[in-house]
Amino acid sequence: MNGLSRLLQVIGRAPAASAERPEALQAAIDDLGRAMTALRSRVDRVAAQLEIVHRQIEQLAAIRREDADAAHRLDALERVLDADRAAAHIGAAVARAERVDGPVPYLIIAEVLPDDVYTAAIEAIPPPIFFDQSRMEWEAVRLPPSLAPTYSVIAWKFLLEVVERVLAPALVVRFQPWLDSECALRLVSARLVRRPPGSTRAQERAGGGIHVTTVLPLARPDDDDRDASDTGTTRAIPFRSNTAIAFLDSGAHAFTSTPAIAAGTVTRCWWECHFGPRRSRGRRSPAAIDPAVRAPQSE
Amino acid sequence: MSEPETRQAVVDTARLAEAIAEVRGDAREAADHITAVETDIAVLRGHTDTLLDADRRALADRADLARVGGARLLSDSVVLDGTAAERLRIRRLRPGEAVERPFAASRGVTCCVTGAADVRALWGRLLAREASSIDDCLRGNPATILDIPDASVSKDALSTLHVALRGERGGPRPLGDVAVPRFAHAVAPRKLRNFAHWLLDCLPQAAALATVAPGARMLLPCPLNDMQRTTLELAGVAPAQMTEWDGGAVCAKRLLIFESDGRMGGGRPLSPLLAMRRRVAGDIRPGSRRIYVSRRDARSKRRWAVNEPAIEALFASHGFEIVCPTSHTLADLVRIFGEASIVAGLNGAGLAHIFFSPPGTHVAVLLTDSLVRWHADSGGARSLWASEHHARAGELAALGDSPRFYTHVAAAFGQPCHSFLGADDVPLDDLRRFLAEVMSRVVAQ
Repeated sequence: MNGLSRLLQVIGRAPAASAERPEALQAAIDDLGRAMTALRSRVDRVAAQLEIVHRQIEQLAAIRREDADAAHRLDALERVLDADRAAAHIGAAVARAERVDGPVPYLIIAEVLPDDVYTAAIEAIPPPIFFDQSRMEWEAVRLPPSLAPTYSVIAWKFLLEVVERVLAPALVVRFQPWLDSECALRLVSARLVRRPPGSTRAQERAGGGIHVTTVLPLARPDDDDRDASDTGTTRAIPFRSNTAIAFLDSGAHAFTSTPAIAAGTVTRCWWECHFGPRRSRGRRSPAAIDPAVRAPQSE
Repeated sequence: MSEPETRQAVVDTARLAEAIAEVRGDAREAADHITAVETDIAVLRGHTDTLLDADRRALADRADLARVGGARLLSDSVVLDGTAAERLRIRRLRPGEAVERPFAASRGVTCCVTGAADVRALWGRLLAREASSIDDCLRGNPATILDIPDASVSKDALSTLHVALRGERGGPRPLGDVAVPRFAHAVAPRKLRNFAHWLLDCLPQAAALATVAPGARMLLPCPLNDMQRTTLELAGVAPAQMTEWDGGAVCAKRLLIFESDGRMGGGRPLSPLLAMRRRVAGDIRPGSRRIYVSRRDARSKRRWAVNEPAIEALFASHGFEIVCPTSHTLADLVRIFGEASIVAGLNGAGLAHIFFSPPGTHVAVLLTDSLVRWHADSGGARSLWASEHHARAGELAALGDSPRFYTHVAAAFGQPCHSFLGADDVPLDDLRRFLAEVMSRVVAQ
C-alpha cells in the first residue's frame, strides 16, 4: 500500500471537521495540498513539453517518410507545372470570372487552375502534423512552408510564384473601379487553412493593408459541394472543386476571409492568398468605397 | 466525546500525521523524478530543435536547387542543366561560419590635408556614408559550395559555368573529385593578376574548396603564374591538384562548384577570407618591425604620389624598412609582414600583405587626390560610394570597394588602421605630423 492510499484510508476515520483537528495537523494537510498542486502543475508542464517533442519527432519522421520518394514525385510534378501554361490559364479564368458588386465586390473564379495543377496543389498539402494546431477551430500553415516534405515546399513555391506574377495584376483589372489601374498588388502572405473534423465555424479578419483576399477550397473529387461557404456578406458559395472566390477588402471593415465549410464532420482545406499594395498611392481610401458595399463587422 | 472516542481520535490523528508525512515523502520523491524527467525532456527538446533547424536549412536549399523551372542559385554565372529530380541530389555545403567584425574600434587617426575641393567633398561624403551605415559592423556569410555527384562541367564563351547533371555516357572516364573555384570562370584575367584581389577575393575560394575536398583536382584559369601557384600551395592546394583549364567538358564522380563567397553588400568575402587566414597565418603575435610598402614598381599611372622617394625617406628616418614586394619571395614576405608592428604605404596591392601580419599590427594607408578621383570615376562597384544617388544607409561592407578598402581589410584582421589623404605631391610636413601621431599610438600599445 502506498502512502497516498494509506492516507485516504486514515482520512476516512479522521475527525471530519477541520476545527476538531490539531492546528499542526491542519497546517500539514494544507501544506500537502499546496505541494500536490505544485506537483500537478509541474506534471502539466512536463506533459506539454513532451507533447512538443512528440510533435517535433512526428514532423521529422514525416519528412523522412515523405521524402523517400521525393525524386519520383518531383519528376511527375515537373511534367505538370509549366509556369507559362498555368499563368495563361489563371489569367483567362480571372478575366471570365463572374463579378458580384454587392454587398461587397467579389469574384467567383471557376476553374481557376488547370486541372492537373489543381490536383498537384491538393497532393502538395503537407501532412496535418505540419499545421499549427494551437487553435481549436482551425489549423494553418504559412506558405511556402518552412518545414514540410520537399515535394510540398517545391510545389507551393511554384504556385506562389505564378500567383504573384499573374493573379495579382489580373485582380487589379477586375476590381476596377474599386482599385485604380495604377495600383500594383503584391502577394503579402498566403496560407493553407485546415479545419479538422468536429470543429465549428472559423472566421478571421483580414490583416491591415490587405486589398484583396482569394480563397480556393482544395476539394477532392468526392467532397460534397453542398457544404457551402458562408462569408457573411456574399451569397453562399459551394465548396466547389477548383473554384476560388476573391474579395475586395473594404478597408474600415475587416472582411471575413475564411469561409465556414461543411457540417463539422469532415476535414476541409483551403488556400488563402492576401494581396496588398506595392506602393501606397495605388489604394483608394476606404471612403471611396460606397458605405453600402462595405462588409459588416466580422463576428 | 467519550474517553474511548477521544483516545481513538488521538490515535487516528497520530496515524493521519504519520500518513501525511509519508505522502510528503512520496511527493518529494515524485518531485525528484519529475526534475529528472524535465532534464531528460529538455535534452531531447534540444536535439529535436537542432534536427528541425537543420531540416529547415536543408529544405530551403533543396527547394532552391530543385526548383521547378530551374534552380535558384546564389551565383548568376552557374547554370545547372538537369531535371528537378536530378537537382535534388545536389547538396549545398557551407564551410565556415558567419562573421561579424566591429569597425570603429579599428579606425585610427584620420587626416585629410588635401586642398582639392572635389576630393575633400568626396572624402566627406564617404565618411558621412560610413557614419550613416546601419551599424558599425562588417559582416560575411559562410561561402557556399555545390556538391554534385556524377556530373560534367564546362565553361561557355560568356564565362558561364554549365553543369550537366547526367554523367556523360560513353564519354571520357570520369575523374574523381573535381573542384571549380569561381575565379576559374567568372573573374577577369586583369583582376586575377592583381595580388590584392587574388589574395583577398580569389584565393579564399580555393582554400574553402580544399577544406571540403582536400584531394580534389582543382580546375584553374589558364595559364597560372608563379605568384598564383605559390599562394595556391599556401592555401592548401598541392601542385599535383592544380589543373589549368580551358573550359572544355570535364566529367567527375564528385563535382564541387564554388557558388558564393558570402560577402554581404560588397567588400571582401570575410568568412572564407578569415578561415583561410587562420589556416595560413596561424597563431602569429605582433612583432616589432616597421614596414613601408613601396609602390616604386607599380605602373607609373598607378603610383598615386609624385614624390614617393621623399615619402620613403621620411618613413626610413622613423625606422621603417622600405619593402618592395616584387623583390622578395613569398616566404620572405610572409616572414617580414608576420613580424611587423606597423605597415604603411600608399594605397595599393602591396598593402594586401597585411594578411600575413598579426592582429594588432597598425596599418597606415596613404591616399592622394588622384587615387580618390580614380576610385570615384572608375565606374562599377569601385565608384558606387561616390554616387550622389547611392545615399541610402546600408551595410558598412558596401564601402569596402571605396578608398576605405584597406581600412575594411585591416578591421577584418583586427588591425588598427590610420588614413592620410593629401595632394599627389604629398605634403611632407603634414605627413610627418600624421606619422608622429600614429607612432605614438604604436608605441603606447
